[in-house]
Amino acid sequence: MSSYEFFENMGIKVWPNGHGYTGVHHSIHSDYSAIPGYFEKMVAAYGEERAKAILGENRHNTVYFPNLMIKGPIQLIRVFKPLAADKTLVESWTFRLVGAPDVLLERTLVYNRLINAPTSVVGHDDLEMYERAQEGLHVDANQWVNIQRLYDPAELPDATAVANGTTEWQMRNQFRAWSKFMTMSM
Amino acid sequence: MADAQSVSRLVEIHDHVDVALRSMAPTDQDLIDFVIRETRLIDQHRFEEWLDLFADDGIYWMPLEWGQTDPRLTASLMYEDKLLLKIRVERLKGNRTFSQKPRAAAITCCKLHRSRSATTRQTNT
Repeated sequence: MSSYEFFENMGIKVWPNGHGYTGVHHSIHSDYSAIPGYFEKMVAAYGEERAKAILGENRHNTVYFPNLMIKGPIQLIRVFKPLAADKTLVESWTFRLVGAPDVLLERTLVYNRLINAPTSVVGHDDLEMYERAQEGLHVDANQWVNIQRLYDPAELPDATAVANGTTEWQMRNQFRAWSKFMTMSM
Repeated sequence: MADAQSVSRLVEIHDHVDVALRSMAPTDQDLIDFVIRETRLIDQHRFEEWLDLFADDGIYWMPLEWGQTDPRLTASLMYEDKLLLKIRVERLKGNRTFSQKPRAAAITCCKLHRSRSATTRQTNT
């Protein structure tokens, strides 16, 4: 497991309406030559400056409120569909880039198997945490869910900003967005 | 084409090769015994021994779709080489493997009674 320091430094960017992404600091050391022929195709399509800008963007997870998660560096989307208060369907969608070498899809599928699949060795313990959180929600002792990590009274719900990677600002924004949209016609 | 041998030597080599080939090919019972042994190792959480059943270049493939032929460019549930299988086994021993507290019982996928016939070799399980 990575340290708090790792996630703190990774950073998070919040956008209005509960959206945002982790992994803010662009990699200026993106290995353009990692996949033979790919960078050349990108330059031919977009010009060198734009190609570098695209390949230099290395986010971790982009989360769109309410239930969409996009992984940029590989071509993968996850959708979280609530079926009941204690049941969620998670769909993993993988994409093939048009005109790109097969090895990019291969890489995406490696990640899909290792991380997203029901058989994922990484996933088992994550799911255990979600199950335990569900159990905790049944307890009467505490009537509130605490998402106040790194709360700043001056923080705005619909700001675009970069913050420490462990802030729960985006989670707070998701509830603020929910309130906003649920009461919009009132 | 082998060099010409004397007749007696040829018979000896022929018989030796034939016996070797016969002992290499597994019988149906060998295969049944192997699968039973594999499931027993998993049942008993003897994962290191289970791992040793695999050849170094062995792959554990669990396809996603029925009739799937491509593990590379089509999604699968698992496509793991021995290193990944080793990580999978190591994880089960980990102290921070929270989903294994308490330990999951292994589910036996087959409960077969080994049939004993005159041709069955004794299998050490």
